[in-house]
Amino acid sequence: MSRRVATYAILLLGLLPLAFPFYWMIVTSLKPKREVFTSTPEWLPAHPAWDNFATAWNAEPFARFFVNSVVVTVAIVGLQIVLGALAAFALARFEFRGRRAFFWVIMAALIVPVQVTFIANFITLAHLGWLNTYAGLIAPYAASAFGTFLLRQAFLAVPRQLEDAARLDGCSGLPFLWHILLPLSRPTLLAFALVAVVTHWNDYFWPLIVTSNNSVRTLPIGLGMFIGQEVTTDWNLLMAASLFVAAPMLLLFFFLQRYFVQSFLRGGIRG
Amino acid sequence: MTALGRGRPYLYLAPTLVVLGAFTYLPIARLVEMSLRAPGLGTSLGAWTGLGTYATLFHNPLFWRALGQTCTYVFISVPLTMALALGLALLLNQPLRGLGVFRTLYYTPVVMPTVAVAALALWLFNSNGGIVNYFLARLGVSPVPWLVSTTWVLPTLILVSIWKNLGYYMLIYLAALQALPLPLFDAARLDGAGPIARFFSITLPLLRPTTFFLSVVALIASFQVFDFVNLMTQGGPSNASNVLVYFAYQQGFSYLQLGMAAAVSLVMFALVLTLLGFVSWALNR
Amino acid sequence: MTPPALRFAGVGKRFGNTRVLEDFSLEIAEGEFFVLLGPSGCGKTTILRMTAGLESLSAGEIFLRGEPISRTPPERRDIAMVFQDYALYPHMTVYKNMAFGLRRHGVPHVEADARIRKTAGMLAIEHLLARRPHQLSGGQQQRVALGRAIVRDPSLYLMDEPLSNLDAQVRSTVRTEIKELQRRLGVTTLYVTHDQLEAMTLADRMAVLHEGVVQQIGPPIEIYRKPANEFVARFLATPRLNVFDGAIERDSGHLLVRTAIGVFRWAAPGLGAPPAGASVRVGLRPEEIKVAFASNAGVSQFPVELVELLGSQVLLFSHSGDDQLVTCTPADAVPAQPTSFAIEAAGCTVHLFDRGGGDALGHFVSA
Repeated sequence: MSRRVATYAILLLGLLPLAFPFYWMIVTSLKPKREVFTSTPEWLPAHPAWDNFATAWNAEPFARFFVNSVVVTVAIVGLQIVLGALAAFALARFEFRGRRAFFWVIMAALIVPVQVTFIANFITLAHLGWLNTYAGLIAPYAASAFGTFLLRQAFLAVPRQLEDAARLDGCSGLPFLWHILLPLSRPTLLAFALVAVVTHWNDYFWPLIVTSNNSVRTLPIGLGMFIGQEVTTDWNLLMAASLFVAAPMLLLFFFLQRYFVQSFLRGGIRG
Repeated sequence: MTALGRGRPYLYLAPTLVVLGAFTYLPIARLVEMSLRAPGLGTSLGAWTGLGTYATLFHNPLFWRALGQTCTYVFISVPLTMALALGLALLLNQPLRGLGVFRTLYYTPVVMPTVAVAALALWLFNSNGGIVNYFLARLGVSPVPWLVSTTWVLPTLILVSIWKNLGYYMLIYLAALQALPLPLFDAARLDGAGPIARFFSITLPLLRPTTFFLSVVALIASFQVFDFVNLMTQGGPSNASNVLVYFAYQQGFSYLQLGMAAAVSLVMFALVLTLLGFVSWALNR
Repeated sequence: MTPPALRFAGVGKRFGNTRVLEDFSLEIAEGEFFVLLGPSGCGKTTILRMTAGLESLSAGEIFLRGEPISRTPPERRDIAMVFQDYALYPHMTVYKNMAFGLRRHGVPHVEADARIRKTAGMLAIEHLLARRPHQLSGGQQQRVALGRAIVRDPSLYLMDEPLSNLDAQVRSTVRTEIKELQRRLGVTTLYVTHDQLEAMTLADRMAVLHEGVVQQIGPPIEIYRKPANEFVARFLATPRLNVFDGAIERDSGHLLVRTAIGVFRWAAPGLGAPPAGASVRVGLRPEEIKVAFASNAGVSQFPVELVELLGSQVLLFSHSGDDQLVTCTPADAVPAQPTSFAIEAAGCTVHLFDRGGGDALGHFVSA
């Protein structure tokens, strides 16, 4: 009994420093300018300034950034799934020379962070003329070693007999991948897609390297620029902007949290 | 099986290998080349200079500072986050009502973009109007110069990264804990082992593969600190929060010293590989 | 002259250095229900998989209605297979499971639908068409697996121990249904099992396999009555075959087989019968031993060590020297608490086997 109370107590206590920043962010975003810096903090805005959001939105071409983020994220995740499914298909359901070697070559990519290779990739893109283009934002991320790994696990779990039955039904090769393997791997696909969407939507580093032009900048970059302008002055606008930049992922998480959590509990993790 | 049929797996692997080859492996070779040549015009390279760039680098006191600060950051934030995550996971691994809600709440910071977290942290820890110092004042503690003091800036960044990443590691540990075979613990209880003994003799050893996996993940993820440094401190104050990845970025994009940036990148990579090797040895014995 | 439905010509299979099948030849007639029977590892499943195209041949050729098929991929062999674990597509409804193969082979929607409904009716699974495999019982899943094969209307059915995952009761019902269906549809069927009861009840003809070599081919009753060697006799006996050493003696025109449990008289031995003085192995099935319970002095009594009541029959376990002795007798002929029994030599069915190789030397009913 006391163990139960203690558990809840500790969890709630831990939740305070975790949740408070969110609360403070929301509250600040609704405050008019004069209520931001007060001698004693106002825990709730006396006169909620809903137009902060509109003001912040218009301060930068956030609409453009939003579109860019959508295009880039969808393209990256889509490509990762297609390329990952094909590679995983080869690794899981075919026997061929060098299969193990190829597997490890792909897995080794997991320990090469983009923050190590960025300067070289920048040069590569410059030579290709892909700086400040969607291609430059998307291409380096078109393949995902992690996605390949997860899909390979999922494909390996489909029993051999099912593949035999499909062959006798006249379904093998790519049709087998499409009709049988992928539908049966739906949970894995979904879990991976969610993680990938969040990762690439939130990506700040690579777009920073590749873009210097508002036409291709993504939402995080836009917010970063906004920080540079608004720091020490319009915190309420900054908080408002932070909120609408974070909102899509927060909403996605809120509505699909089951699938986020599933991705871990599904055991794709234990190496 | 026709020749075309036999070649199919290679065909399916090709796009992935091409992309990884071009953007993950080729760059490493390029970095080596770049670090051994002088910078040329624009993005082209100049003459071969051998290890001269490295010599200059190792004579640069700022490099050593950045290296030291990087190590401090990694060696504190990674173990600390993992330990806290494990503790949290242990708490959440009980058959109690409502724990799912806590699990979701603790995970929420993970889906926030680093930019938003940076903006939020700047506001919270601000010297002027920041709410954190207000709370400290209420507790009778004098205000802390979080982001403007050379002593406090790294701890602040560590704190921010723990806040953001805790939920992710917690979830992985939780999944691993839930996969542990219960009969083992029953047997241990009958053998007279109390909760502490059970934790150290059974739980921890059985979690080793997960701990290894998380160490690797955390190590790679620690590069994320660039976002915070770039947005919150720009390496300051007085380079007190300059870390290797930011240093490389400065060299490449502010000073246009591409060769130097490449050299630093390779040093970083070597550091990562060494740490991975060490962790692998330590946890896989 | 029409070619046989399925012909194996010198088929062999090697996995690495292990020879799993050697020089396997067999002809199966159109519409025949042929069973491959044998213990695990005897090669029967390999033969099935090679016929389906899921395994390649190391030697020989397989002909389907006269056409060699070893180079044809399974997708195009016009063969349907029922798997041991059913192998139903878990993410598709029963209807879709049955439609899948048809659609893949280009059968138009309307015709496919008609075939599916007709087959579902035949198997009494119409009410399950909208369900998913995990919502079905084992027996229902098995019927869907059958339906998936039937709806394809192929030249040949392959069945890989389809009943082994079913409960005993369901098993015998489905077994009968399979037999009836096959008779009705008249499609050639190659069926693999290790269960001799299944083989005996289902087969028009069967082959007994042991370690990749065919031991005997023929109709079940013939194999039962005249097993070609000791292995076949053992395999087709429940719960086990009684085997004793025997010595041959001649007595005017008859042969006497002298064993530890009695002397058996072969009234009309043929020319191939073993000569006098030969030592042989004598096999007697439990149900082919005549048992008597009156205690006649002078007749050796075997003490009853264990009784197993099978309902209409009773198994009595005993020993003769080091050899176990099992008899199977109709229940109403057995007293309530039998303590011992005697064997009446006359009327027992005796199988003689060569001591060296185990080949059958003769089968007779003792006079």
